[in-house]
Parts: sequence; C-alpha cells; structure tokens
Amino acid sequence: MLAPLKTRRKKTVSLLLVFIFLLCLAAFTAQGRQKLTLAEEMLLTLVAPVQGVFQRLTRTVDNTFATVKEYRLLLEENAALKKELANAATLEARLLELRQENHRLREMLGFKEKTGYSLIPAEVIGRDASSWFQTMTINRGSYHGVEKNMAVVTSDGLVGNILSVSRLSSQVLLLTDSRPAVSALVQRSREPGEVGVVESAPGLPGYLKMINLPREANIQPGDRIISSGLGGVFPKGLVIGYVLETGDDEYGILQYALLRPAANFNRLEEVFVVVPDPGEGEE
Amino acid sequence: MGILVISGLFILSLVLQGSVLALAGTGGIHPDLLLVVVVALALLSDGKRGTLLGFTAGLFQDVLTAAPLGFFTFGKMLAGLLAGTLAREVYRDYLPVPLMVISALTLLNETVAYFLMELYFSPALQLTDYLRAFALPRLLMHVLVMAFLYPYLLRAQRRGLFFAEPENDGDGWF
Repeated sequence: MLAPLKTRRKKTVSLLLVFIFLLCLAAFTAQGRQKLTLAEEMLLTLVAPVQGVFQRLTRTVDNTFATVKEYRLLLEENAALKKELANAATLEARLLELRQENHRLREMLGFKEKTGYSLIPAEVIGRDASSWFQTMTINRGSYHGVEKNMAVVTSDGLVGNILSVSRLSSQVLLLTDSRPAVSALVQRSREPGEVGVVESAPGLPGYLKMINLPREANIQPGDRIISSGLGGVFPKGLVIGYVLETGDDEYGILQYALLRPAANFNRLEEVFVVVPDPGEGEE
Repeated sequence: MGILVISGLFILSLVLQGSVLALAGTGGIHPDLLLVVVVALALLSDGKRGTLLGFTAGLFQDVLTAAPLGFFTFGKMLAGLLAGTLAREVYRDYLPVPLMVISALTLLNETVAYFLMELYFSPALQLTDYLRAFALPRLLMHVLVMAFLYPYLLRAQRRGLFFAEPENDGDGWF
C-alpha cells in the first residue's frame, strides 16, 4: 500500500532538499578546502594501509606483465646503458668541474646560493579511477611533515601539489586535473615578461597547455618549461614539461603552447614532496 | 553487522577500483565498481535504503578521492534512489533485470557527473563525445561486473548478510 499523500510529499521535499544541499556543498568545496574534518581524517587514516596493500599487489602484477612484455626492450636498453655507463665517469668529472665553476660564478655575482630542496620520499598508494578528477593518494601525511599545497615531484619533473593531508596519507592533485594552474616560464629564454600559466589541456587527457603568453614570446617546440615560483605554491625551477607546438589563442592576442608533461603520469610509483625553503617566500 | 559488511564492501570497492581495476581498464577508462555495488544492493532493498546506500557510498568516494564533497554523492544517491524504487516493480532474481538497470543508471550517472562538472568546472568534451568515449565503454564494463557480482550479492542477501527483507511499500520514498 502506498504511504499517505502528505507523508509522501514530505519525504519527496526532504529528498529534494538533500539533493540541493549536496549541490551547494559541492559548489562550496569545488576549489578545495582548508582542512579535513575529523571523520574524513579518520576514514583516510583507516583506509590508507588497505590501499597500500592493494597498490603493492597491483604493482607486482603490473610489473610482472610489463617485465614479460618488455623483455626484449630491456635487453637492448641494457646494452645501451652499458655503453652509457662507460661514458659516465668522464661526464661525472665534467659535472664536478661545472658545479665548481657554477658555484664560483654565483659567489662572484653575489647571488645567494640555492641549496637543493628538502624532499620527503613517498609511495603512491591509490589513484582516482574516475575520468573526472586526476588525484592520487600517497603514504605520507602530517606525521611525516607533509603540509597542504606542498609541491610533489618525481625525478622527471613536477607532478602536482598536496590537496589534503591526513595523519598517515595525503591526497595529491595532479597537474593534469582541471583545477590546478602553475605559473611558468620558458627555461631557455627566462624572460620575466613571458610568464604563462600551465593547466590541463582541454580535450587532450594527459597533456598540458601553457596559456596567457604574449604573442611575441620567445617559445618554440622542444623548449623546456619550468615553474616560475610566482603564486607561492610551486617553488621556482621545477621542470613542468616540454613544448610540442605553439599557436595563437582564439582572439589572436595571446599565444599558447601544448606541452608534454615531464613526469610520466601513467607510471607514478615513487614521488617526492618538496618542503619549501623557509627563506624562499622572502626572495 | 549489515552496516559493517556494507561499509567494508564500499571501501573494498573504492580501493579495488583505484588499484587493481585500473589495470583492467583501457585508455584511462575503468569500471566504477562502487556504482555497480550501490545499484545491486539497492535492487535487493528499497528506495529508502537505496538512497542511504548511495549517499554513504558517494560520500566515501568524495572523501577518498578528494573530489568536491557532494559530487559523487549526488550521482550515487540518485542511482540508489532509482534502483531502490525500481526494486518493488521488477523481478530481481532474473539476472537481465539488474543488467538493464545498471546500463540505464550508468548513463544517468555519467550524464549527471557531466552536468555537475559543467556547473563547477569546465568539461573538456561535449556531452555526446564524452558519452561515446567514456560512458559507453564504462557501461559495457559495468554490465560485465554486474553479471559476475549480482548472483553473489543476491545469495548473500538471501542469507540476510546485508539487511532485513525490504520494508513494506509504505516506507518507500514514493
């Protein structure tokens, strides 16, 4: 038997109110939140070890398949690496010489020597499987010194920044998500007036787009794009990607560049969280 | 007991779809295991419970994937509500029924997600392109997952693992 009309109407209205509340809540939290609630933090802390186990399992299976598939490639790569290794000693000596020369030049110019970034190594323990958001979870949280907005990198380049932190894990917003934007410049020219903004490339999953570049900007395919340090979230000098092509925007006033990200977003296993230099903000 | 089992099932689904199932997907498209579980459980229940199941599962997903709070909750809750409401009208023991329901609700869920995305961000693709490139492959994956999963969930529910038998009609939403 159906519920009385009045009761049904009341239930329908309350249901509609819940849906409207959810829409408002999503709008309110769409650009990120300052802090996680206690319940969220507890859930994330409880789930992180489980995610870690499954991620390791996945990685083992994936690596096994990849190893079998890439056996031939590995053999070729091995031969090439042996050759490269033979040249490494010479290169290392040259590198040392250049480093010393660089140090001397910096001292001469009176620049403050920048030390390397302080890094927190972390393992990726989960990825968002939906096609809407590009986030991942790492096994380092506030307990290990991770804080919201810290940059996340691999040895190849910038990956994203910390979106939220719980005690034992953190969520990383990848560069390929539609939400983050990084102030960036061309490493070759380093012209201060040619700072652009790097964001995800609409319609091209996995690629990035550098926008708001002046039309006369000195940029060409193959150029390396690095973070400019403006905006305060990403430290200066992190490699973001490489220019694939350039073009004019729809109004013909500005230029844009399509970028191939430096980091391989499909194979993120180990990453580093960059702890900002305390003096960096003052520069 | 049922609450614990269902919560565990939700978390397991989320962890699996963020790890192991990522290997099963192609071209960055993975099945939304959580949606399949919500729809299956809602079909074994009623509108009210289906709504609550969708709400809880969506909230878990929002928290664990750092999505805006309410984004996945909205779609999952709607799917749970509709599947639960349909549960009274269909013959749930007949496997093609959940397969048809998951097909329809996958399209609905993807469309809702698209419009929410349009509301809060700017989606990269047109709706039709998105449905063709992402929603249809995901629909096929969901049908396969549902065909595999539903008989187990049905059997578990017959043993009373999730909740007591669906409440009478008067307790539904409509």
